[in-house]
Amino acid sequence: MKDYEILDAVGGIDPAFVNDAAEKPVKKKPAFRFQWAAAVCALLAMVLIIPAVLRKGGTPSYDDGEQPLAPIRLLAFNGLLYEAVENPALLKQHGLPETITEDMAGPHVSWLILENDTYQESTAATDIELLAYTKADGRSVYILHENDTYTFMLFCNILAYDSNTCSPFETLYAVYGINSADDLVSIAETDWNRNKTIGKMITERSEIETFYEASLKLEPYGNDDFQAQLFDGIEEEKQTQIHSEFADDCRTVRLETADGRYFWIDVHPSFGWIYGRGTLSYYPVSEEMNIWLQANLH
Amino acid sequence: MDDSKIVDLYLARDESAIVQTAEKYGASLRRIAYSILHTEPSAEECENDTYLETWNRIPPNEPRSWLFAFCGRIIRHLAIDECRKLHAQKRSAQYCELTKEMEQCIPSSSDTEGSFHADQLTQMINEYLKTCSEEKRNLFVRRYWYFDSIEEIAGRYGISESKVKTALHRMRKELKTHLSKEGYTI
Repeated sequence: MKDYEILDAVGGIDPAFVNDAAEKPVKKKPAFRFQWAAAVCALLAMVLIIPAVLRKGGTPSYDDGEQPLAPIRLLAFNGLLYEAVENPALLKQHGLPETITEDMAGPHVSWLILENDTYQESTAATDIELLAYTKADGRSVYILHENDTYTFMLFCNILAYDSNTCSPFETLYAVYGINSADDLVSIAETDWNRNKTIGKMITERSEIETFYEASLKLEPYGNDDFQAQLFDGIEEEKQTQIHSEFADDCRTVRLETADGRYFWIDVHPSFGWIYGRGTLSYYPVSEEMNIWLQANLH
Repeated sequence: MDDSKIVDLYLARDESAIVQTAEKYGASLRRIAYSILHTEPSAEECENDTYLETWNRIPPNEPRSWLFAFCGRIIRHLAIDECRKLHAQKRSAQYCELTKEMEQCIPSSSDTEGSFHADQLTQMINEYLKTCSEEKRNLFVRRYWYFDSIEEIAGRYGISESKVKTALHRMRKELKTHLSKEGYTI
């Protein structure tokens, strides 16, 4: 049997299916631009919760007098969402220097305009320029040049078309310039606010290669499909409980790139799911990945 | 005209049956052929051959409630056959894409024990489609029966292209598993 024969065989399916598919569907309303909701939630968490926790823990991350609710400046560029980050603690956490020196600013990438705290591409030259960052591969960080100041634009997440958009791990790796396991130098579990390493830091090549290969094979689920998998058929009261259990089950895993950048994924071992953060996608843990997690997570 | 009356015309060997079929379904049938052939003359030729084939097949067939699906099956077959005969470089991208996707549904011979006839394969695909939700099934049918592009399907149902791609990807995997379990082999 050849590929075209199976395509031909579809021709004989139940005519009722053909008629059903011929009917004009009632079009759904265009989905709410989920990426903005996701981005705003994530950024609010970053701006409000993390500093509060850091302060509570006695680790000052902002200078005295700095407003925690500083305006958020976003950039939607090439299908990805970025945020302007100046906070030294956050930059350090992401493996970036506090100050940007001349040699870090690479070639011109795009002209931008700022509208409602969001930078957008401009076809005409403007006084805001997006530059490449010479110290890292991929598209996870750019440098914003505006009014003679230089600011890092950090990748937050992909721009999702709707609440069920999903992307494979490969997409996440591509953003960070990871083309093979050699581009990853360490994997470690951290505490939830990503400051402290828990357990051992994995640097053995064989372990990293196994993780890398297993992660590429994970099947991505969009949020809607994930929610359906987790909650469908479960009573509403029980759903709330499961939701809390799922959140409590979260283990934060940090991946370090060869050029010293860090990014994070969430592992929910008891539920058998991984959340890709940057991809806004969920991945059911495969057997191969499960073995790796059991052997390597604290 | 009602499908049943058109079929009556075929049964009575009345040539106006072809005119009535062409009036009612001509454009939709031609569109199916055009979707994978991408040339108007070839699609028209397939359409004309479809009427002739329909004429030859009714009787003994009497597709009173499924005349469009009946003719659709014929034109699909003719269009696929036409594509297959073309030199690889001349085949439409849509045909290559569709056959490549369908390839993913075929279990390797090591997965299964027996081999099956094309009709049995259709039966298995039917059984699989019965297990799917109507929403998912419609995506599959629009893609692999009507040969719609991903963009067209997304537009038709008001969903994202990535959702369409993901749903179809999962369905192909499920279909492969289903065919494997049923013992289907190449």
